Amino acid sequence: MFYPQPVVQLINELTKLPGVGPKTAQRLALHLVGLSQEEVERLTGAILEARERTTHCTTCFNITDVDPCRICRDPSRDRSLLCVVEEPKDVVALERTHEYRGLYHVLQGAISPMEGVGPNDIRLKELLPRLEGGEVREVILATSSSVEGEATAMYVARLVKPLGIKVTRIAYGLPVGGNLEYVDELTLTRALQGRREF
Amino acid sequence: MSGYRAEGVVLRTRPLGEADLVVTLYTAEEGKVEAVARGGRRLRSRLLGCIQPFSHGRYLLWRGRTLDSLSQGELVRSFRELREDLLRMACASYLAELVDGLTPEREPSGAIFSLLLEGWGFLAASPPETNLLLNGVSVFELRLLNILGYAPQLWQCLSCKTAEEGEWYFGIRTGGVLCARCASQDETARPLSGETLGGLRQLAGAPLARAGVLRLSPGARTEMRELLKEYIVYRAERELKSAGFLDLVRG
Ligand SMILES: [Zn+2]
Ligand SMILES: [Zn+2]
Repeated sequence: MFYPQPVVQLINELTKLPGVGPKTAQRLALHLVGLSQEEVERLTGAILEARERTTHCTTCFNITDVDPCRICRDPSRDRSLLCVVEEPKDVVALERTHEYRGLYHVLQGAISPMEGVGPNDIRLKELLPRLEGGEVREVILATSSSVEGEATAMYVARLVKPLGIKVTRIAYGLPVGGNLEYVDELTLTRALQGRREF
Repeated sequence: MSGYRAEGVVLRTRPLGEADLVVTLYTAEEGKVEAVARGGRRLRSRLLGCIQPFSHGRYLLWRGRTLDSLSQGELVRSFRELREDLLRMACASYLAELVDGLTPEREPSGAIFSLLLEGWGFLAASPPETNLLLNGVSVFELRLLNILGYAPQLWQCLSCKTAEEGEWYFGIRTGGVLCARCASQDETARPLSGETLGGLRQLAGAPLARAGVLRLSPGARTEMRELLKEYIVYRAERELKSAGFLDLVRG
């Protein structure tokens, strides 16, 4: 590469970010070195502060700046509903719907038989104590529809059902505005299985 | 670049970058192939339905310098039953990992391709009952080893050829049974119970449809699983990650 060594080093660091390829990294690096001292300090300051003030909620394991997190400590949330998701970004996605008013449990991963990721490698054992005490009436499994997400959902269901708590799985459906002919067979089969009376 | 068509099954997938997926296929025409599905993790991808693990499909691929790319696919069978039960999924993942671990890239074997379809078909069609499915897994292991030329000797001592019933050992390195007198010749030899040996003899060469006939005690079941796993790990020269999950869910 024809860049000065410090710029090369910056490009190398940027390439480690998710979704950033060599070309994007070069563009970003050139942009960054063109910023004023003040702008750069604001950016690095924001990164440092976000990193420093972010931790995991010791109840639900979502990322948070206060512990317990704002959802766990919100008295208006429905404590009889517990939604199990894989990642913090899944909480954000569900919160955006404004439909769900219960609590969450973030597993920070999913069981992957082929990758050797087992139940002990995710925040699963921390789920069971939350189900003691009888407050939770329903556990909603909102893991992804990948093989890993399905494995995780089935495994959690197997642990929770014997406790006498209702376990539900989010439905599989057609994307809104989607035309049937463009939907894959697996999704369509499941949408058909999960049909409801009109 | 040249395109080619192949019928295959998806052994595994791994993410690449933000939106792509590397799909490991076992195809009838080319054997094991790794191919990139561009945008294969996007919800709107038209490939999504046919690149899920356990999918059986017809694919259009393009040869690339390091990895091929997968541009189109048509689903033959989704094997969704394998995703809908924990034990079935654990067994099916294990069969996929066996084929992935024991076969080199681009060495086609019609026998292995059909065996995998048959194995997954058996798991999908059988009630998810531990004894039945695990017998099926062992039949699959023995048949795959046989195709690859690693079939263990189960009927006579590998060293002195005696077939007299007595105390038996299994030599992981030598690849079969050893009598008590010869066992010391293989440092990996381990004692083998009569029940487990009888079970192995019954399952070797048995069709999957007959897998349910054998009933094993929990002790012999564990011994058979451990022994075949150890032998395969020795042959594959790599760990079998999904074996741990299978042991966990089979209870
Ligand atoms: Zn929380
Ligand atoms: Zn001998």
